[in-house]
Amino acid sequence: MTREEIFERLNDVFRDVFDDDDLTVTDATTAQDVDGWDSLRHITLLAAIEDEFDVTFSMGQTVSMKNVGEMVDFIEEEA
Amino acid sequence: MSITSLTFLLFVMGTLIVYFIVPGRLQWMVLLCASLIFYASYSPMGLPVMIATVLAAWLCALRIQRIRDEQAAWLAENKKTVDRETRKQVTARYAKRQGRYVLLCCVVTLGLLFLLKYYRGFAVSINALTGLHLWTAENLLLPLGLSYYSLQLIGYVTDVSRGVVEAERNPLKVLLYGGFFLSILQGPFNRYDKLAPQLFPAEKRRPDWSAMPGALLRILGGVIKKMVIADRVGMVVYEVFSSGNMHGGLAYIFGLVCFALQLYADFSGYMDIVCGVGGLFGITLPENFRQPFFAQSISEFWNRWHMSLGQWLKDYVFYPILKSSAWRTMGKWMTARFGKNAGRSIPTYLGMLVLWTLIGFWHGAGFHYVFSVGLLQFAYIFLGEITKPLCTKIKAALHLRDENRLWQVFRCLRTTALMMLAWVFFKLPAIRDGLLTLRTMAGIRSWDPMQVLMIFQHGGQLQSQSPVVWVVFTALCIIAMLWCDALREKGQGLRERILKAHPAAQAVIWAVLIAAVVLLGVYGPASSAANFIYFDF
Repeated sequence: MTREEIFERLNDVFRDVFDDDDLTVTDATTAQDVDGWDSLRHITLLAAIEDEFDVTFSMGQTVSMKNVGEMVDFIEEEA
Repeated sequence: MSITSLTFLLFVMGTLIVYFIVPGRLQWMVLLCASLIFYASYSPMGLPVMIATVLAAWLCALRIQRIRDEQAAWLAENKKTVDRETRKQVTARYAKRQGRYVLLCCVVTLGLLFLLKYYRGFAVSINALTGLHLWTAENLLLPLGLSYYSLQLIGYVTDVSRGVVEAERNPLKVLLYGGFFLSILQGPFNRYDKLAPQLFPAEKRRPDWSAMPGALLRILGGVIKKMVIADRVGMVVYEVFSSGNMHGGLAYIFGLVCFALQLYADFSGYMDIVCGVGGLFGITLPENFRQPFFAQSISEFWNRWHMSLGQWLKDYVFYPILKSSAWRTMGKWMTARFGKNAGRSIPTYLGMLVLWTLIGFWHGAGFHYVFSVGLLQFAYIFLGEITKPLCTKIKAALHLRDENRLWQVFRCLRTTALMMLAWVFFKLPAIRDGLLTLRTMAGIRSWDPMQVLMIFQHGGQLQSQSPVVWVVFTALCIIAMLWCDALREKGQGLRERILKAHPAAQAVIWAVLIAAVVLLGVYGPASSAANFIYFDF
């Protein structure tokens, strides 16, 4: 799967979780950039991404990923 | 050795001198010796418990590291030759083996915590309810700081299993991490990956003279918060809540406001002192407060109050619960039956309920703790979340915007009022007492301004001052503390401003601050300098 394809599917997941059809994420997007991305939604988001790409984030990744780019790196490596 | 005492000042100065004189490879040992001396001065009987906990964490972390190394070697050898499914299975097997040691560490650490902190309360309750004669552990003393270092060590072992840090081979270094004298008594909760590089730097640490004035100013600010504000308003709190006197509603409201200020000044004052002392050594500790009385919601309040505990619980309790297979299965089951929104939100709220119950328990075994800083906080946040759509509609109808200054002030006051309501139950030993006190507060007929004046008079008597002088200076100090917070909220730290001022102006400010401690501080029998409120947790 190419990085572009991952982003395409990832944007759909973000739009669904945060209920925002205009939302588009990039490598540099962080929790501060997305309205409603707090600690409660973080796990919901990761669960939705895990289901979409059939990957599993470890707890270390769950608490330490700094931006969307790191998520995509992991998906690219695993999926 | 109270951290607001002259003994502590001399202890820090002595440690600093030795720390910067000895060779770099010995610097951490100086901190270790200082930490052991400091802890022994408070709780000599608690030392064996701390050492046992550290040993358990050290051994478990080493075992986990060995398993991680085996896993890394296997992956390096087989990653390209085995399929993804096999790789996942093998990784899961290694994770399970690591999980056993994390669990073992939790059982040992939390077992000691339960035995020494909670068991007595449970045994007494069970005996009272059932007529049994369970051992009530009356001779067991709670070692100071147990609730703090236990969680920090569990965090360390968990971080090793998550690959965030490598296990430390030297048990004395783990002992320094767990028993570091600036965090041992009431936090902040450190993370090994942040603190260890500062405790064990690769090169010799030299004094940073440019950072010293800022650190000293922070210490002085902390001492003022504790000795001038917290201990002064503490007299009022004692008079209102603990003296056995019955008061009218106004006196209780006044006492409650003072209790809120006491909690904040006491705990944040302690943090300012330890963070300032850390700054003298060149060590940055995590912040625990960020102007909590400016929070516009309860969730935000907890992101500004005792922050290091909240972050610890989020990373090591809340996220693992939500990521557990039981919670994921529950989420899928609920999505299938009640739809996507329910499937996502209900497991999250249940996870929050567990989290807040644990936060309540962490403060103590009494149900009033579980209720006031646990279940009630959960109820506030839960109600806030589920009424969000309705509130958004009401806001739109009233043309209220989040940028509106009056609306922001209202939200800050509302948050503080809700926290004060919770603190009634936090302060009083039983829920029934809290309810009675709230009923008295609400009874306007019982409001008697004379009782408040009597309390002022009592405060003045304790410090041999006239009531007017006592009230004026106490009020001035509180206003100064809140003003500093207001400036910091705007991104304008007062400390930074003072340090940029003309040297003559700086000298005057230093003199005024030192005079404030000497002249306005609470000393003698009225002082509770040795007892910070959060020591009890």
